[in-house]
Amino acid sequence: MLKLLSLMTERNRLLLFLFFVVGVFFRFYNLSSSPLGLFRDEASIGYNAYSILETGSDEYGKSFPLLFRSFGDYKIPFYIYLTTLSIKLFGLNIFAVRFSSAVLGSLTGIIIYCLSLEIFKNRKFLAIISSLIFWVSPWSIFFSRGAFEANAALFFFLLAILFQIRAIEKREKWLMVLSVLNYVITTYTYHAEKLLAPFFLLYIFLIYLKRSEKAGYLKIKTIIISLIFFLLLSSPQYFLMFTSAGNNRINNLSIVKIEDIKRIPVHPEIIIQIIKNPVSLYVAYFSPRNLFFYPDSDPQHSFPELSVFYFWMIIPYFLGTLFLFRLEKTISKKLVLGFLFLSPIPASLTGDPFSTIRALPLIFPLSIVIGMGLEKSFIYIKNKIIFISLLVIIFSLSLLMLTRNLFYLLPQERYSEWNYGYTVLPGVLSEYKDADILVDEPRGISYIHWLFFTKYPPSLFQKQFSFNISNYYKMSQWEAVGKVGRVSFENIIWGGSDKENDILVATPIGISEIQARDHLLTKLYTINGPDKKIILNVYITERGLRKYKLKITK
Amino acid sequence: MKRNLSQIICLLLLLWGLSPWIIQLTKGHYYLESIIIIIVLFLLLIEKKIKKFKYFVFLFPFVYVIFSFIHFQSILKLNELDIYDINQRRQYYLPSSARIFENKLGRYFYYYENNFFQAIDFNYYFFNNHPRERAGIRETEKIIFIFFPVFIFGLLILIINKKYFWLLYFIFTLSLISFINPIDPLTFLFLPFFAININLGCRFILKKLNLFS
Repeated sequence: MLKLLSLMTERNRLLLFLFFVVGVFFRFYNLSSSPLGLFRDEASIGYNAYSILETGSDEYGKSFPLLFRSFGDYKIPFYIYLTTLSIKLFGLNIFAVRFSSAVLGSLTGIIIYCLSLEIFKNRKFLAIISSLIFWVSPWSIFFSRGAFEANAALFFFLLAILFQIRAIEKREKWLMVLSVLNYVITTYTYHAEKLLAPFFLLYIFLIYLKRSEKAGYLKIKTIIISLIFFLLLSSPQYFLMFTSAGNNRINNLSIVKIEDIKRIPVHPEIIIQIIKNPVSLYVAYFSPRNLFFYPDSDPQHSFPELSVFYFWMIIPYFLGTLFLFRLEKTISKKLVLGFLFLSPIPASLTGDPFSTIRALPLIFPLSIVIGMGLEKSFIYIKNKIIFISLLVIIFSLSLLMLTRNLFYLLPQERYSEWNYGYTVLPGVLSEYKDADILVDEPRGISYIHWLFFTKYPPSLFQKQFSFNISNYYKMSQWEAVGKVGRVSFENIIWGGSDKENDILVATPIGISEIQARDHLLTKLYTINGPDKKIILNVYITERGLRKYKLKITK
Repeated sequence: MKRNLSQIICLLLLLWGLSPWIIQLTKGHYYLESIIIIIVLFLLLIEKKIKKFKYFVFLFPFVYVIFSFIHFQSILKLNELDIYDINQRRQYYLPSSARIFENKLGRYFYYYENNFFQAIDFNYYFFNNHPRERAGIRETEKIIFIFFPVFIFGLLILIINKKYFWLLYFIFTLSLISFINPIDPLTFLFLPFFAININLGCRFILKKLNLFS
């Protein structure tokens, strides 16, 4: 990689550095407050990393697990282990949890530069513009600003491909070892890469094997050893797919259900749906509407009113696609096309219409395609100064648009998706440490925010709940954690909860004004969103009033 | 590219006779179906016969869009909710920069973008009425989805042969109708574009299979 970077001219190096700085700025600026709040999965990642750091076990007491149990689901482990480093450095806080993702997201741009240069020899403009597109794309910036395993997996996945291509072309065995190691890491980082990694490892070998038959430098022995090495190291992850922990997620997300296949003899028309649905979902990943206008349908996975690329990129997207198909049948073309068509497969096998998180590897070939469109326009347009000035203006306006969505609309309009209320709650109630508190939350998930923000000792939590960890990878049902210390997370039962607790916390719907009056509750705090909407109300009960001798005027 | 007119007509009748789009469009107005088919065939005819005047085809969407303002609304007419939304969002910013980020122009552009990208989405024509719905929900596509690869072939043939007329027609019509809300009823103006591409794709595949020359 350093060799590739050293090939650059002074001007290119400066440009790349400038774009890198822009990328870093949009990934790190206000990292803790935009998105506003801490999503429960991020809290889970952070607390489990903290727990590993403190006790060597996860929140359930399982020592160094290969899958982390989290609300009845299982998380792939690598990002959690990576987060232990940032938590060691910065302590248990929002910044530390998101830090690794932001760093890896920033560095991925450099990998994209090197990989583009490796694939398309000497096309430096294409390499620089592709990395710039990546650095400023809302898709990458969004996932770099949250603790998303998919973003970390993308870094290792691209690094693995870069090392593999370089190893084959330069005949360096140690690079092949590094490549396989990175492929293995991706399988421990995100589900989609578990499917993609073996395919890509094999695909790249196959396209180079065809060429190397003449050159004779890629040996079958190398391929077999690499594959065995990969399968050996990643086998625990693949074996775990056959346990409840592994297949629970597959069963929940898969678009083709076993029940549907069983119904085919009675309802043969189901076959059409079985073919049509994945094809429809697959096509959606190339739809200009999804790529340039419409955000991910999951509000927790997108900016308001901003898609994964900027709207104007549709023009270079079409141009780039045209030029890509017109390229001669070279390895470069096969690599990019392979990347383009293979990347959305795992995502299109799940039911979500356009899952930007599962299709994240697609960002690389699309950056190349859009970059190609811009590169060709640069070549064809005679007046380079006008073209570059136009590009500078367009990119500046795009960044202005990003600023609006990232620093204003996202925190103001999406805070509830990022569990802002539960993020603030432990701080609000910090002076009531010995109070019996009930949080009206039937699913009992927000206990993780309490653990995270109070830095609850993991050893104490593990002792408090003696979970049965002998069947750790076989538990597929969510067991609600009802209580953390003196704080309960369950439904309010009138006549019981209000008598046995000092403080009740609920949404305005959870406890209405009438209920509060009928059950003699006094409002202690109101947790508002930045737009002044009430998220949670904190009430003190009669028992609480007596305990704290508060005289609050109703 | 040589075309046998009777073959085209046969394929088109087959395609549009089966198209759920036509059925949706003409529900209760059967005379419309025949008008649409006649228009499509007419456009095909004039492309071949009166090449010099083929750019008059562009007048059709233009005139249609002007008349459609009688029934539909322009995106330039914002409703009270839009104005409320703009004012509400202005509170997020410092007063000096609020108008830069939130203004009527931005809202017009947003609606234009919305229409433009909805009409350019192939999923919208071949798979679902609402491509962002979760898969599995029963919906009727506009054109039967098996025609999708055929359409792609047709489109590639046009591009490779540098025949950009219908592509231009598509872009021109798209940029015009994006000014109108809702865009859905107006997308039928793309019928000739889809018909031509699917026809070309069909002919290409059948030729490759030696079934139809």
